[in-house]
Amino acid sequence: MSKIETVDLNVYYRNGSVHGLKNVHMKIDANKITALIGPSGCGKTTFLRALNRMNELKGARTTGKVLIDGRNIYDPKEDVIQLRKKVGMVFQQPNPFPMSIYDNIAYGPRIHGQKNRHMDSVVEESLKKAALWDEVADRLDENALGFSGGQQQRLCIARALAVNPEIILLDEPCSALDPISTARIEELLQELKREYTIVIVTHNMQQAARVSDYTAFFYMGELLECGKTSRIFERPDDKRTEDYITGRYG
Amino acid sequence: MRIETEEKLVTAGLSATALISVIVLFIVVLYILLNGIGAINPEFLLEAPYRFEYGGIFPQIIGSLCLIGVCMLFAIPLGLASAIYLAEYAPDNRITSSVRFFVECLAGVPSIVIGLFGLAFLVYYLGIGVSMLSGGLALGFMILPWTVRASEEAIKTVPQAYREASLALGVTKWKTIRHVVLKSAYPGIITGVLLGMGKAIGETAVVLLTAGSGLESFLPRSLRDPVASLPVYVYMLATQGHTPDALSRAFGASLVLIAIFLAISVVALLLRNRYVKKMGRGR
Amino acid sequence: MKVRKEYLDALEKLKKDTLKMGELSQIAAKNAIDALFNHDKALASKLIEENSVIDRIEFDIENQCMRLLALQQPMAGDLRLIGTCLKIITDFDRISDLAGDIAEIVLQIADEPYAKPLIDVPRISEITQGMLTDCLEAFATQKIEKLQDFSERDDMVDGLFGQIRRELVAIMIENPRTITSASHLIFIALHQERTADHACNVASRIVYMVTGKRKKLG
Repeated sequence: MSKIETVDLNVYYRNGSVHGLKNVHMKIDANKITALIGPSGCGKTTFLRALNRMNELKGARTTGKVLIDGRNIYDPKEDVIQLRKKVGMVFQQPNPFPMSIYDNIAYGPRIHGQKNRHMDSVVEESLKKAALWDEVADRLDENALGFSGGQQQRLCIARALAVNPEIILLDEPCSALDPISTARIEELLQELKREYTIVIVTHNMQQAARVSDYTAFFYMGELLECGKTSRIFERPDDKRTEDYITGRYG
Repeated sequence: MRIETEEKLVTAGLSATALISVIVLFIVVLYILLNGIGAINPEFLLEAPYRFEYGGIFPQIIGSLCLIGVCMLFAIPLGLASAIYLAEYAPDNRITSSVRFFVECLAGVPSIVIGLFGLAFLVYYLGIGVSMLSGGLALGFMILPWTVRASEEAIKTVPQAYREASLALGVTKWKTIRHVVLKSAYPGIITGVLLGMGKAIGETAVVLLTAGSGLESFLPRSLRDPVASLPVYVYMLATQGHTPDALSRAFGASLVLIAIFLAISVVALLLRNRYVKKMGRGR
Repeated sequence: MKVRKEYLDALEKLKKDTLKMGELSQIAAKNAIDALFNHDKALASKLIEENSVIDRIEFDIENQCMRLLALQQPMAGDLRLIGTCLKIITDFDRISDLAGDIAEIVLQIADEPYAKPLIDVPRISEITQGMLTDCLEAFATQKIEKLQDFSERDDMVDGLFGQIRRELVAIMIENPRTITSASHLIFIALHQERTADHACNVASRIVYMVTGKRKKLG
């Protein structure tokens, strides 16, 4: 059973006037990195946000099913809060809270009831998993906003890890970062996939090629092609995929 | 060459106007200081007025503080709650815009009208009588638009990214507001509160009609008691004072009023700045 | 506005230049056999000179490929094209070298009658020329139907080579004084057989370029 499976997924927003995602059927394997690529406005971010029901915040209407571990997360009986603990998200612009590093990471666990006496180890473990511990261990009480973009983004990853998700969604996480920070985060993702399932939206084709195991190409709200990254970038089936990958699109 | 001189002229002109604003402020404060400092002495500050032109203004000081207290107790929670509703929960439709519009209109109501409303509604209709409660509530009505507006602006300034990050961690909307949005918005909210307080502390018409004649020589013992207040006392002295130093006493009371306001502002701003710094520290 | 105009133009140039190199090596192979057939030492010398031109073109194409890889991050079909060009220029280079080797032999033996009349050598040349023409056409048009029977054609070349060798060996046994000139002819036939093998390599590479799948031809 795939970790994530979408069945007939459709997303409408602006009161149904925009059909953002059309009949998407896709399977995402556990402990792999799946990249979502496609031109602007093709629906890849909408798809990503459908996986943790963040589209609802913009008033979108979703039909079809999104199964995570076999359970449809859009079932009215399902708890959105639990879902978002299980499925974490990292955004395009690093967005740490205007608090200390410690408080940023402790934020999620504290709200979910984590006791304060074990908090130190939770914070340390999360920062270590995000490859940030060595750099900030002695600066945990400094305001997060004073750190570099790359560090802030890793902090956001650590913050997401602190609530023990199983799946991590990343929406163009490196687009605001310099090449070295980007490389570190890509390296980090390779480590993280051992424990987590990772889905990443990226505009950067080379990043998708470097980092992911599977690649899905979205175009005008539809999933055109999905497969092993090595195959997609060497010989895609669909001409539109080939045009996009080789830069002929546009 | 023309562009350079234009730049220089504009810079000079703008600096001049800024300077004028500062100078005006200084003149006013200095004038009050010079005219009022003569009346300031321990008796003045700590005793009750005697036949309204003699003695001290202690009850007036306490009265003003009490009125501000009641006013804030009413206006801050209500203003903040309204602001949270408008900024975070209200749907983006005509009804919401109308609500905002009405709140803004309230800001345009002349203070004497609010005072009259307070008199008719709070004092007579509800029967609370001329009292600290009526005065405080009426003042609260008056400054409500400022607390609502400033709080709403402060909340809106909090980047949407924070909310998204919090929600994506599985935190509910209300907890997000409490722990992230409000915490970030506090400095702006405090500024709004100070603005409102500044208006309220010097408000004469409203207080005159709802809180007391200003000449009370006793301290209030309960909310239903009438209270004295500094602005009304100044008004009384200035218009009905006979003694030679009535005017200087009026200036003295004004000075005390300004001093109280400045003191509260400074304390509030210091607390705000310390809070802002603290947001970056602490486990 | 065409996107990536510079890149697309560079790809077109690469295709054109590779095609040109292929044509030049095909001509060299033909000229070598013509020179042999007509005892034409002048043609043979000219061929040997022109080989250095082909070598320079190979370097240039290789540079073009490396630059495209380094600077343009080509993917999918473009990547396969560049990889294919890099490999088939080696084969073209070998084909022209083999033609040069034949030309060298021609310079040595053209002044005398040959050990036997040339029947099978021209036949092999015909088949090989056909293979090269089909390769170049497939490269230009991306249509690979004509490449499907290369294995059979290569087998025919191998067969003809075997025949030539047997005949010449028989002649050498019968008349030992023909050994020198006969062995020259055997080498020429061997070079032709190698040329056909290289044509098969090129065909395999072009099939990969077009379909993305690897198929050994020949």
